[in-house]
Amino acid sequence: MNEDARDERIAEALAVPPLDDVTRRRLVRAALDAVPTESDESDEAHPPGERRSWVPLVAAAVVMLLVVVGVIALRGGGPDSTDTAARKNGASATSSVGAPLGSADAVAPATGPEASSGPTNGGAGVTGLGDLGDLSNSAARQRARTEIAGSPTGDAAGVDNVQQLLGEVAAAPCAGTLRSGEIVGVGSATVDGHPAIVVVTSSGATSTPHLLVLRPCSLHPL
Amino acid sequence: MAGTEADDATLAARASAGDRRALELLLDRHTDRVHAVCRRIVVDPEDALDATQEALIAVARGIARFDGRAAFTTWLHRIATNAALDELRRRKRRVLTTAPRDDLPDAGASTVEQRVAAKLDVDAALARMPEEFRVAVVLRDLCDLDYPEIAEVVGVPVGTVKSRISRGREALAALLGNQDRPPDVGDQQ
Repeated sequence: MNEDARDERIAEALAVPPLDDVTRRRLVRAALDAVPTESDESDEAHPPGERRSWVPLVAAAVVMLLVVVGVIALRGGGPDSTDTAARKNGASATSSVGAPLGSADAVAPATGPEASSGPTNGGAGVTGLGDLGDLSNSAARQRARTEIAGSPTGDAAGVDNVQQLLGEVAAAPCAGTLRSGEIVGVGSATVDGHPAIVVVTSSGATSTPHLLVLRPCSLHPL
Repeated sequence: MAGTEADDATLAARASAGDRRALELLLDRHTDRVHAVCRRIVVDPEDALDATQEALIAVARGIARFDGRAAFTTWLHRIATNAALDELRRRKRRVLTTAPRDDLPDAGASTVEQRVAAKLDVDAALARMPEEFRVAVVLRDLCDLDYPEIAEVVGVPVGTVKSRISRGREALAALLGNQDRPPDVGDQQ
């Protein structure tokens, strides 16, 4: 016999009967189960503990983001909040100015932050003209007109009571003719010792100053 | 066999790429072959099943690293042989006591019944053979691997393979009752 050839006699003696199907399938299934599937590998890459560890990190990141946003909002409270309030008051002023005098909208004074905000927003878009003094004579009224024209924003001292002045204008029974225009400025004054309010109305491109004497109630051009 | 190898190569490539169905087909196709190797090397049936399982798991886990340079069956036999040898090392004591010397068939038995019994008692004969002879004979005569393939599987030169096969055959023939070939199982190269 060629020694390099297979020994058929030994081969026959060594032959092993095939496994039964159940055993073979069990072996194959066990081998397959020992190999991680793609989803298992994904789980291994991010095991449950590791996934859970991201939860507090994400939560912390969200909290940090909210804190940062809050700090930015608070620190930017000056100009941003002023602008925001101005916009709010602008909307309110539009409503107030656009409404007829004597209506609830026009009369209702601003409260809270709106009432105590900066010089141009205290009157909800209405310019505070300040205290214009005694306007009993024509010279004083001329000076007042000049001041109004040259200083449309008025002074800060007069702004604080813009809402009050607007309320008094709205309550004045003789202020009916002011309802044809929008009030864009108010200031306090006196006429012959009587309290008065300088009211600037706007109609289109023109502004008209008025002098509203409260007691007795009378309305005059400034 | 060439056609089968081609199919094996295709399945192995698909399995290597992550196709579990291809891997299942491949394992199912070769489970009996792996079991036969393990059965004849380990000898003990239960241990052989354990070795078979380990071999199949090794194939499943290692298929991604099978590069196709060698025949799939060569790679498979290497894994099966290593699994069987590992099993033998783990349970060496049990394997050695599988066939006590007093129970071995007598090579010089004279009756027909005794010779038939001796030929049937392959397990006992294999258990008496040195491990390296047993592996060489199993891979050559049971698995039909050629010498270079056996050399690759076992990791020894082809000349050593030839020697082991020759001497293993003589020993096995003697143990199985061929009086023309006296056993010299204790001699090693």
